[in-house]
Order: sequence, then structure tokens, then C-alpha cells
Amino acid sequence: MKTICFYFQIHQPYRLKRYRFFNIGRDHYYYDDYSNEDIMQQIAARSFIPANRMLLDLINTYKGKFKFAISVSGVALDQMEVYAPEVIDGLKELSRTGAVEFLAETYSHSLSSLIDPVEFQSQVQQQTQKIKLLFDQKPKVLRNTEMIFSDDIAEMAYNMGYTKMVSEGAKLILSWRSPNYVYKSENQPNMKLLLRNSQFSDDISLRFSDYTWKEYPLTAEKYISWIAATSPQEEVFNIFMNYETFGNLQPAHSGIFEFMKALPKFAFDKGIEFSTPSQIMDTHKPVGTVSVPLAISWSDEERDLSRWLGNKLQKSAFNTLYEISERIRLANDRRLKKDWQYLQSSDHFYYMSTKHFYDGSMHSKFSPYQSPYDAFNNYMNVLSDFIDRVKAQFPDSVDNEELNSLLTTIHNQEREIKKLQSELKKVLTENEEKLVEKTPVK
Amino acid sequence: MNTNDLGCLEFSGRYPNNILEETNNYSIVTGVIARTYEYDIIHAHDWLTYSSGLHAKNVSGKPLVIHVHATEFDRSRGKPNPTVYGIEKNGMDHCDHIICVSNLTRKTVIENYHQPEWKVSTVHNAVEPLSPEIEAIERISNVKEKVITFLGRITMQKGPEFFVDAATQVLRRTKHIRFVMAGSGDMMNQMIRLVADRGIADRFHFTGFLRGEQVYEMLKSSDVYVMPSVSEPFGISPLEAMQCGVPSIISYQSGCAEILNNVIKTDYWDVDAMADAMYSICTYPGMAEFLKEEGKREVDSIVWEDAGKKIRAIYDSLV
Repeated sequence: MKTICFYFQIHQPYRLKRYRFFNIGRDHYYYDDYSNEDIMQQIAARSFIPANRMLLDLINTYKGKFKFAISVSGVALDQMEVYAPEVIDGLKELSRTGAVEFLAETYSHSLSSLIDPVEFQSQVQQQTQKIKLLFDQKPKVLRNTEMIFSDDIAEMAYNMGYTKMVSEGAKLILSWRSPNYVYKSENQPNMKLLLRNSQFSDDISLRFSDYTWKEYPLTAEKYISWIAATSPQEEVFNIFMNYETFGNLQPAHSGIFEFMKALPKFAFDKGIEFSTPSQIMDTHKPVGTVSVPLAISWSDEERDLSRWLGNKLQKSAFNTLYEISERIRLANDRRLKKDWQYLQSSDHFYYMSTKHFYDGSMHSKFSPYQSPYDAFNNYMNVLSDFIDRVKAQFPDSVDNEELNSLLTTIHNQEREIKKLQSELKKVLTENEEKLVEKTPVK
Repeated sequence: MNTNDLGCLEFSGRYPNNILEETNNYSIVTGVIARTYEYDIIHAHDWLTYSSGLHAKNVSGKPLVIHVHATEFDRSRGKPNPTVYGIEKNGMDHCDHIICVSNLTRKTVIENYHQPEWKVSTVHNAVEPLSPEIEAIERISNVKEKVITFLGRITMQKGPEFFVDAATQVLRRTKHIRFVMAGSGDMMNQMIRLVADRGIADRFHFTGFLRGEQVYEMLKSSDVYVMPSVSEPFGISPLEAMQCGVPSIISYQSGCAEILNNVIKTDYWDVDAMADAMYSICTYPGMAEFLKEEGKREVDSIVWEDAGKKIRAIYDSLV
């Protein structure tokens, strides 16, 4: 019985405003509100809101047999709360149908899994808490930022309590094998994996409106027939894409909404179902293991980390950022913690990429900066100010561990004092009469 | 015609006050040479030689290519000397092809000199690879601060006052940076006064004119090279700086910005952006190292052979 597993990803970063070095130490607000608001509202109007409506209609039409998964980063949710709350309302309705599974990911859409396990865990916790709060679901399947996956990450995820993950069906890890099965991690056999079928996914998200593509125009009937034509043992079709495919990456006039609306009918006609990742991994046995010593992702031809950490600028910024992670975890300042979340978004590093800089191709479409140097410069200025603020709370002269132990001591002493105070109060009230001075009776 | 007692024309060997007379004499001599020898193409560089080129063309009937390294518009920042403009326009009107050193210059030629587009091509300059002696020059640094250098003629076209303004911004807020303005020119005294006015003279230094190897010594001892030109037809000095492994900041209004990627580009008037870039290279080691390595790699691939090939193709099309 073939089944399609759709998964849509929603993310928008908090873009930084133009922040010059002379703002360091003076200006502690880093974000380009105008730009973030403008972009979020545009994308909501073009993509998220009509897509939410379309998917809700499909669920209702097929009485819950049409199912899929969604994952939203915490940072995107923060922005939507302020700039486009209708999107959250739409997602809430989708969640209430019971046909939509929300996945777990990092709050900031960050690369913390690559450098700081404690931060990674904290990020995932923060995000799942938010999802529970807004959509009343406790995510069971983990999706790391940009599908970044490795054996180490599998191990970390398992230690956090997850036994199911989704990632990219990269040739590097599958070689001749097909992504249309459930796999498990070789390193951590308790971790089940669903791997994205990049060909079928990109057919919709990248090639749908490309009229030079030999399969243009893509109709729902044709697409389903391809899936139906695969060998009978291949049962699982993982179609993972950015939610903005509907309306933004593939504009409405390309017919993407009509395509999607027609899809379930053709699928059901051929006996193909729709499932959520949890359902699939609970009911299917893994057919093999994958070993991923070096991290993969769903980005670019190489399916690796080069888009975010490919050059010296990116690496230096990344390392500088995470050097301060222990210290910021000790802080209690809410503003600082929020800034810490927003500065970790992988997009900041993405803008510093020099990969396609020389041919000026797709990179420039998504970056608010003129050049990768501009991106690096701006980010580092902001980071410098942020680091100064963290250090102002906890000065450099005190070492991290020493600091930690001092704080713990202070905390314990506080507790002790409280305990003693309440004991004292108890004793005093019991023996009040004995303690009151007897005034001499004249 | 003023001949000396041997019947020869005298040339001063530099740019004298009677320069128009000298160029005229030069073209007379050219006519004599043109009648004597056989050749296929005449190639004249900049306005000083245009009249000679035209004379040679009239004499021999061979095609004339003129090479525009700079126009009067660039030199005078919009207010050209009418005589020089006349000579330049005359040369462009009567030649067979015009080669410019950048798209910026090409645009000026097409728009301000009213030349047809098909007649004008761009062949970007390149840079000679460093000789081993120059490669061997070591960095001289007696100061522990980072050094930011402006190296060029201190004249209106090169935008020195923007460099001073950006330096002021940086120096007011940092302690670990020093500035150097190397070279001389008609605006040098004005710049010295400006620096004193801004109160940054303790960390802003002038070297005067640098000769030969001194230029490379200066470059190698710098941490940043800045060229805030208002209108630079090409500008080979940033390439030389990149060869010495110095991260560079150039203006969008220079010709070399068209072919360089591993430099920081700003508008010449955007003092804030320039100051920010200066601070960034001096403070974030990732930025400095990246620009240094990638810059050297990029400049090593810019060779004169490519320019030569393009010019050869133009010659072939004319003959």
C-alpha cells in the first residue's frame, strides 16, 4: 500500500538592520522591523494564508484521509504573532483537525547541533514547548535545521528522547538505494529515519513552473502516475519542501494551488494514501541502516554544509557566536536570551556565503545584503555589541566554571537562608509569650 | 616650427607649460616616421597622442585605434578644459576604433563624447606579477596598531577628503588603528590642514612621494588599502595591493570594481560604510584573512595576456 508523506517547512529569520561599528555599545536593538514586517506580511498573503486554507479544505473534503506534517521554527512563530497572526490561526485550525502532525526542530532554525549539544537540546525544548502552547501537540519526530543530519546528531537526538527523525535522501548516504523506504541509523539503531525523495520533491518545489523542463506542464495525474509506477516494494514517498512553494517560490498563476487540490483525488483513485511521519515510522519496519559520518543537508547539489560554513568568514562568525554560549546560558536577562535566539538563525551565515557570489546567480535574490562581506561585517558588529552586553553581566575575568560554581554557591546559600528564616519564624510564633519581655508591674 | 641649430625639434621630456605646442611638434615628427616605415595598425594612447595618430592615419591610410586610459571628464570631475576636450573628441570622431579600460570609461565616451556604441570596446587592464625581489620584501611594522593606507596622487579625482572623513570616524572610536596617506599632489597641503582641523594628527601620517620599491614596502606594511576614487577609469593600485596580500576597500565609481570580487566596495561619498569596512577588517580576523587569501588568488588570475588577446581580436577585425 503506497503512501505519500508530505512535510512543509515554515521559517523566516529576524533580519538585522544596518548596524555600523559606531553603534556598538550604544544601540542594543538589532533588527530591521520594517523589512521583517514587510516580508512576513507579503509571504503570508501570497503563500501561507491561501495554502492554509487550501489544505484545510482538502482535509475536510476527504474527511481526514488527507494527512501531512508541518514544522515551524520558533523564530517564525514569534514574527507571525506580531506581524501575521492569521497564519497562526490557520495553523491552529489545521492542528485541530487531527490530520496534521507538527514536528520538532530548533527554535532559531540554528546550526547549534553542529557545535553545542547543550544548546541544541535547549533549542529543541524551547520549540516543542511553544508548539505545545500554541497547537496543543507534543512533537515526536525531530527535523533538524535544513535537514542537517549525521551520526552524532542521531545520537544526540536519541538522548533527548526522540526515536524518529526526518532527513535528506542524499546519494552520498544511500548510494544505489531508494529513499522510498524507512531506514534506521547505523550508529543509533533505535533511531528510525524517513529520507526525502529529492526528485519527486523538487519536481514540485523547483521545477513546477520551469517551462524548459521536459515534463512541463506537470499535472496531478502525471505526478501520481509516476508514484504509482514505482516498484511494489517501494511504499513510502517522502515529499518534503518549503511551505513557501505554494504561492511564493511557485507563484499562484503557475497553477500550483490547483495542482495540489487535484492531487489527493488521483492518489486515492490509484489506491495511494497519505500519512504523517509518525504513522509511517510506527507501522513500517526499517529495511536497512544509513551511516552518516559527515553531516548532510538538503541544500545545493552537494547536500552538505558548504552553504553555511563553507568559507572562512562563516566559520569565524560561527565560532565567535558559540564561544559565548555557556555564559549566556547563565544569564537571566530576557532581552539577552531573545537576542541569543535570533542571532543563531542559520540565515545569517547563509548570507555570508561566497558560493555563487562570482556568477551573481540565485544568492542575491534572497539576501538583504549587497555582498557577503557586508553580511559578515554587519553580523559581526551586532555580535560584538551582544558579546559586550553578556560580558557586562558576567565579566571576562571570571572563568566560566568558576562562575558557574560561584552562582551555584550563591543559589544554595539563598535557599539555606530562606529555610532558616522560615524555621526562625516558626520558633518565634510558637514561643511568643516566653520571648515577650515582662514589663515590671508597678 | 622652432628648430634648434641642428635642425631638430626639441622635446622637454616632461609636461611643460607649452604642452600643446609640444604635442603638435610630436605629431609632426610622427608624420615623418609614418612616411618612412611599413605597418598595419596605428595605436594611440590618451589625448596627448591623438593628433599624432590622426596625422599618421592621414599619411598612411592605415586604421587608427585609440586607447582611452582616462578622459578629461574624470580628471576634472565634470568641468573639462575645452581645448583638451576638443582634441579628445576629434581623435574619437576620426579613428576606426576606441578601446576603453573599463565600462565606466566606455559609458563616458559614449555619452559625453557622443560616440556610437559599436565603435567603443572595453578591455580591462591587468597587473604584472610581482618580481621575486618585491615578493621578498618583508613587512616593516614598528607600531603595534593596524595601519590603513591611502596610496595615490592626492588630487580631487582620488577623493582624499573622503578618506580623511572616514579616518576621523574610525579614530574617534578606536585605539588600535593608524592612518597613512602616501603620495603627493595638489591637494596635499589642504589635506594636512584638514587632518589638523579634525584633531587626528597624532594618528594620521603623511609620507610624501614614494619611489619604486618604497611603494611596495608601504603596501606590505599595511593592513588595509583604501582607494575612495571619485571617478577612476581603472585603477591598478588596488590590484598591486592585493598582490601584496593587503585587503582593499575601493569605490564603486572605479573601473577595477567591475572585475574585482574579493574587495569591499562602497560609494565614494558613503563615509559611514567606508569607516565600517575599515573597522571590520582591522577587528575581525576572519574578514582580514579571507580578503587577503582570496584577493591574492583573484588578482593572480588577472593577467595581461587576456587583455592582449582581446586587443588582438580588435586588430584582426580592422585589418
